Amino acid sequence: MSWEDQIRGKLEDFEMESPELPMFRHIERRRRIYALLAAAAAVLLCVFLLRPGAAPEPAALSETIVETAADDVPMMAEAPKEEPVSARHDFVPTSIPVRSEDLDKTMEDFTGLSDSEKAADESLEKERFYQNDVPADRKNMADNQDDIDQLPEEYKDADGKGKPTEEEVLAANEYWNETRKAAKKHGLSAGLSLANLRMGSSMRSGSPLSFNSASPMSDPMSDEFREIYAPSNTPHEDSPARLSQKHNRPVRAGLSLRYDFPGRWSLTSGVTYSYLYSKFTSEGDNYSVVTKQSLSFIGIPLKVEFRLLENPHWRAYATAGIMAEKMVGGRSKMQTIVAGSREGSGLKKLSMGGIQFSANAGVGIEYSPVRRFSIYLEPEFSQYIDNGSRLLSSYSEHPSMFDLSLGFRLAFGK
Amino acid sequence: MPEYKERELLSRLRAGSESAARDFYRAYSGFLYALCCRYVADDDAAKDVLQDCIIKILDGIGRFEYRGPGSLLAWAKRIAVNVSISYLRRRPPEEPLESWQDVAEEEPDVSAVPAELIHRMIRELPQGYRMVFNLFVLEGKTHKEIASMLGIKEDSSASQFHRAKALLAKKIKEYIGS
Repeated sequence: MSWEDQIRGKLEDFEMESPELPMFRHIERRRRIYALLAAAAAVLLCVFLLRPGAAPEPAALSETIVETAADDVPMMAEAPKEEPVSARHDFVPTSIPVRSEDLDKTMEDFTGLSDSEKAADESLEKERFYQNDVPADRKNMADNQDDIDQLPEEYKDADGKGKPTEEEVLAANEYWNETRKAAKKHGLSAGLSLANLRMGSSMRSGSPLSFNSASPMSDPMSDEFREIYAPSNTPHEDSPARLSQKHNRPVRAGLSLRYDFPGRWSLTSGVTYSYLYSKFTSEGDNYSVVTKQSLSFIGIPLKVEFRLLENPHWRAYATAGIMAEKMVGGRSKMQTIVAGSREGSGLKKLSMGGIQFSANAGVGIEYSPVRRFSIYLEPEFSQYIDNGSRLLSSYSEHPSMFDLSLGFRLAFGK
Repeated sequence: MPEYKERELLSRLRAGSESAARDFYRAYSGFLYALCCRYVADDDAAKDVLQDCIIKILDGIGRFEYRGPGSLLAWAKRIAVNVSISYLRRRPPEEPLESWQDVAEEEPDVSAVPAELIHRMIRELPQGYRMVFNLFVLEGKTHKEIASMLGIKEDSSASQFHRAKALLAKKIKEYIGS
């Protein structure tokens, strides 16, 4: 072997660690962000699963109220002269005594119950009251109904300017009581959600780079791949064809169960159904082959939620988790069109082995117009993990995706 | 890369898949970067050349005809060579620091010399020598083809090759001797 041959042999397959090019930088940066999100999701999940038994402390304001209302409620004689009451939302419901009739009236206003439900609630409330099963703050207020006359002068201001009225006091009191109860109680809720219904818009597969997304298809491919995406039975195989693909955003419906732990954490799981639609077009000079592909997935999500804000009507939360999906059905329908007329079609069943995993992170906002019912909106980023499948879909071609879910929940036991 | 994977990657590249571009880069950029570095001595310039090369490959993937396993990488390497040569031809040539008469003619045994070292020694050759040596030894071009590619005379290509070879032999001997 000559000297040159030796050098050629040594350097033929020589490779170096390739640099990060600017053209791929944004892709890599995005991948890194999603990897971080996935890691954050995993960390959140671990923190949640390994957390100590004691519930985390609720929000500072709520905690203040809880302590004051439950443990340190002073009697009328210790009315909070030193505590300024400047605005409804700043009001700390410590010791404002009220008449039980007023309390009940305000309670009704808040619950929004029908007359029959109110009657039932009233009897239950009375029964619980006489069984000493009433929250300490409520009982204290009821016990001190005769102390209304002892209200400090500042609370007796007739015109009420700058002072809360009794109703306002009760409203604030009830508001924070509800908040406190929500923060302290366990709760289970069931939900139904739909994602990307109005976002079923197509995502044309294309690179951020400047290369052409259409190309001649004269080269051979593996049989399975070609059978689905680049049919060999085109009427003019020798003429160049151009392949393009577009993928709709996955449309997803889900049933979920959410368990609220005391404090700020919740755990959500359930089952989802996802529908992925893609269209592939192989075009020649006077013909085209259109392949429409639809894939169905059943998934099981596991998410943890961290409640950022919560009151009786609103809840804002951050969510992170993972989802495992299994393809349960798939088919592709091929249609050959020559000179504008349909000449042939074919149907093929598709299958995908393995599980499609994804990591998800997002935020949500939930509004409860009436008790036990809420609607929510959850924008969420998902990173789909390559599972080695050879099927082209939005999961493989757009692995980093933004989803928008809309749904409602029914709460039990709260 | 197995043939079926290579073919699928090619199909996805032609369909404009972003993930395919990424997969292509992961699979082949190491070879292509080494090749660019062998022609372009400056690291930053080599990165620029690699980027131009990737863009040209992705742009021209539609014109590529698959001819069996390894043909995609071979085609990509040809583009990398052309882009590297184009870059170097736009730059003023470096003057060789050593005269070829001063170096040994005897061919050293390179079997014990690591590929990384040979690669580095080639990068240290003067630009003109380096281009001719790479094209003749590693790309298998004739002096006629090299002369046409570089816009020089055929004799000039042959003489530059011999100087490059002698200089490289000297470096290798120094390494073996040390």
